[in-house]
Amino acid sequence: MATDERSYRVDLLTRVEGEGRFTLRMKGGVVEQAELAIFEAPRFYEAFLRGRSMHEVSDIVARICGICPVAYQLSAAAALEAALGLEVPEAIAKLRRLLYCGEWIESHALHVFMLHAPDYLGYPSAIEMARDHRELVEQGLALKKTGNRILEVLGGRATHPISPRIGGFSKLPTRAELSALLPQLERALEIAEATAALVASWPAQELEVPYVFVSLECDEYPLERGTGLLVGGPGSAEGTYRVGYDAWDQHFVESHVAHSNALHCHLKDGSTYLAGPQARLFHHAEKLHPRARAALDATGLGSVVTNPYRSIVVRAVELVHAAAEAIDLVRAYEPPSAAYVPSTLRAATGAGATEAPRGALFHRYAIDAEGLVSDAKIVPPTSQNQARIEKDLATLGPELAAMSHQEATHRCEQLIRAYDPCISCATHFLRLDIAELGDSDTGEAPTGGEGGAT
Amino acid sequence: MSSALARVRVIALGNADAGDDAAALSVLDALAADPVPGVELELVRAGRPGVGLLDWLETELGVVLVDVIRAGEVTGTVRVFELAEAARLADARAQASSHAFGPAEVLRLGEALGRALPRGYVVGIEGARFEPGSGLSDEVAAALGALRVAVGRCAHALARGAEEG
Repeated sequence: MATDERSYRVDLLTRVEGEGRFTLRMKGGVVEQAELAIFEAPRFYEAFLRGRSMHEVSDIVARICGICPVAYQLSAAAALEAALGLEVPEAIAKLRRLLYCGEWIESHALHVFMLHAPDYLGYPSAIEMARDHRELVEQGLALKKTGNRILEVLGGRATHPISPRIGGFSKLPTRAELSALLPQLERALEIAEATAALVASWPAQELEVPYVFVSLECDEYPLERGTGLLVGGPGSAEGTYRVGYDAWDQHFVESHVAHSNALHCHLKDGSTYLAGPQARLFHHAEKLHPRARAALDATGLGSVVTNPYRSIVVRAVELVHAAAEAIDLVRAYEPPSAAYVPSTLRAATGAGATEAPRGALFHRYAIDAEGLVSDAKIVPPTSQNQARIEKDLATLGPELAAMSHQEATHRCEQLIRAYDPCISCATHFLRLDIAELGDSDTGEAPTGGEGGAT
Repeated sequence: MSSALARVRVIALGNADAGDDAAALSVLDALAADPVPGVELELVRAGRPGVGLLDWLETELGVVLVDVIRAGEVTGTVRVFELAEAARLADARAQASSHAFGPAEVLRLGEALGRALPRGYVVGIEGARFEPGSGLSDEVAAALGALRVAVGRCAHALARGAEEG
């Protein structure tokens, strides 16, 4: 009916990282408004980095995220080292890669098992799921523990590691310390391979999105370093092209939107894009570790994954990759001759990026001749994916029109969760609220969906 | 009879920069500076460990879990629960985000997984404000001594149990 007006709203999204809200309004089966709002207070990291020593940046930006602090630390290191003209030896780069593998393992395990799997198995949370799928949840916890252990050994602690610094690490692990990780890692690899097969067997909703995928340019499957950004995919009119870090402003735009405290990121022409596991797979599938490649092949999924509901499979394949590569890195470890490369101060600007679990994480810093930060820019993956998520929510319109309100709201939540948004790093509980409108309604949700922080 | 002191794990939860959420961490610092006599404390500054708390609870040691609570008491009130009782009383949110995996959710998850809880207690202090950078409320700051005493008593009780058991 043309006058049918419906509103779906969840004031506090469930099973995501941080606090967000979505609102979807439809009229006559057409979506008029699709908003993913991030309403946590802005934290002004870029502003309060100004005036701080470049050596403080790693510890400060680690606090942006409790799930992916390494990504922030190593993106900052990449950008600052570019400014300083510093190149780290391969042995240091490999240790950083191992550290990053640990972060991917703990982050992906958390999302796959604790946040995303309940959507496929029909539970409201991992706690309820654990009663019926104990072994599955225990496997997820074991994987997460393995990732955390890598961070503890290499980073000094599992949350907000303290050893990464400009030029390398403040402390190097011994061979014995790393070798002690191997039994846990080998078990993690077995679990990850089984997980990839399992999640690929779960039925998924159908949705094909003509993505433009953005990931790092890299000779390896991209994690801790890259030489630029690659833009391309089924939705790209220009094919695949490269963007140097120094040319970021010429290709990407960040803008404020009224409904969100997070900046929206677009390509310069205004189009949306996707960063994250599907983007990495699209651009670098042939560089997956052989064990991960075999796991991917066994799923039958291929390297161009345009259904967001299948992102869980790609994340599981990346779990295989991270575990397998971590094993290789540990076995090949030869302690570097020095923990870090010293740097010489100079006034300069540098940009760099790494592949956070949720996608490319871009940093740029200007430093003065005394090594103080005069400008900082940080573009996290969720900011880049937010506009894409809203666009996908809008495409659900006709499907939602045929559903009950509860089913439709749940479907929207499932779609958002498929993107693994890290809305912020605050600790808050989440509640659900739904509003349904008749013709005379204002469109405002009823009270009760509290934005309350604990 | 062994002369070694019985060992008890004290796990402090919270955020040092979020008002009264810093209470448990403050007490942990006090215990580190001025140890409780007669018992060896393994001090764990867990912060907000999420599901990682399950790992800290996987121990043969007696455990004292220290955290700020919201139980409708007067601000600064110190409450002690047995760990199993706390697991029963905890208000776990079924729709938690990963960040919201607080002790309540962790205790419920442990129960769902059939994991046995260690011997131990939850020592909580009623908090009132949690805004970033706000510092402890006067009431909680004034009650930190009582919180420390309660933790020490629980640790002694667990140590005695270990020696007898």
